[in-house]
Amino acid sequence: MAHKTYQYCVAENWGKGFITHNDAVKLGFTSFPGEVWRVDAHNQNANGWIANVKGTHKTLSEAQAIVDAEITQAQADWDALPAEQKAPSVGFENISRPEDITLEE
Amino acid sequence: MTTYKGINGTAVQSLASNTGTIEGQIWYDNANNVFKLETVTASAAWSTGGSLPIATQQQSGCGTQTATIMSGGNTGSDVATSLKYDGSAWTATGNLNTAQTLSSSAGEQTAALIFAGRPNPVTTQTESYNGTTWSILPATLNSTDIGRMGFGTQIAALCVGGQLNGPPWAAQANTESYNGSAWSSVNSLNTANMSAGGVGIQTAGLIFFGQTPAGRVTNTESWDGTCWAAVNSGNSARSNRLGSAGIQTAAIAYGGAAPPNAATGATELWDGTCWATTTPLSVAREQIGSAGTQTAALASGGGVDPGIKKSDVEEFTGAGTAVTKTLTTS
Repeated sequence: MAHKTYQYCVAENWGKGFITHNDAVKLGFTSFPGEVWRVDAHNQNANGWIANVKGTHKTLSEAQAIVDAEITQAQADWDALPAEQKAPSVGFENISRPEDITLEE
Repeated sequence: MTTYKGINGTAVQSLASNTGTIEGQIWYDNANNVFKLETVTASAAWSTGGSLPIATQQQSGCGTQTATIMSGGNTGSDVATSLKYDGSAWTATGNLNTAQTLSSSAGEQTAALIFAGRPNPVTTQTESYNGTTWSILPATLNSTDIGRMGFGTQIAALCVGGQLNGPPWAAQANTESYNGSAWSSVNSLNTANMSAGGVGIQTAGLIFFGQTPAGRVTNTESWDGTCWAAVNSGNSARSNRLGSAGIQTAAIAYGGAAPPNAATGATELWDGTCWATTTPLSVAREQIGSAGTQTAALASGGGVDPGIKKSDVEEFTGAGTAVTKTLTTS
């Protein structure tokens, strides 16, 4: 069986204490749209963190579906913007159409 | 029976604060009635901080990680809100006189300066904070450029680069210096740059990354109080108000928008000579409100894509940083 590098979950970041310094040193985290979190480990520490933050485990495909839904909505919001708000980059705005995100296993 | 005194030669001290304690020492915090342990972090990492009350991007910050002030920004519209952070939570303080976004800041939580915000006519306006309220100063910037970088103190600040506030939106190299009563033009950057990181004091500054006419870059320029000089470049090009904190010889750059236009969490440390990559932000973002030092930086809010603003706050703790832990029975 292929070794899994990451775990995914859905958890609400409540702020201070959600990811502690020790958590970050041991595990590594990446946030995605839809309150999806990737934990860069697949071990007891990762499971412990997900339990501590009352996260809901997600398979790769489940997490991808959540992210896809968020991105699709963001793309629709972008498409609905007036043309003048989609002007070429002027450096200070984030003005490109949201791109699809592919989660890694 | 083995005792702490038996092992360490001294009893557990009862103290009101950790002043004077050393690494490895256990002490009794008589102000909070808990035992504490002084430790030192082995590795650098970002942890979550108290979230912003409202998702905000393009706000301007200054101060330390545990005594920050963040002002202005955009929550869907430009705001005049000003918030203080104590290391755990945000509380409102006096509003800016004018709602603005993309401003630059200098100073500290109790004595701050904000300038070069958008939209017009705010671009030339300067406001000063006395710890409670903001006041518009008579001093105005000479340029109406936007996306500028700022640093320094409330009475000795620098405002650098930016871009024209209208088509063709070209990056600028202008530098202006504030002496406590007026802004004056001084020597320009070697390369026009906007939406970069900027740290330091009026006589010793650093500008890094950003967007030049060549696109998003890793450029770094150092200011000696008179002139800018190009120094070693960073590793990951990015712009769009990346986070920045520190001083000329010890800086941190985090987040921003990397080419072609994707929010990044990339974090790099400057040791006075070179940039080195370290642990990235958990939440990749641009348009960040930043404050702090190289070893204790703060990333507040920011944005990801059009309309998606963040309330996430992250705190960077560098390796070798002293940390006080509360001992529990668990």
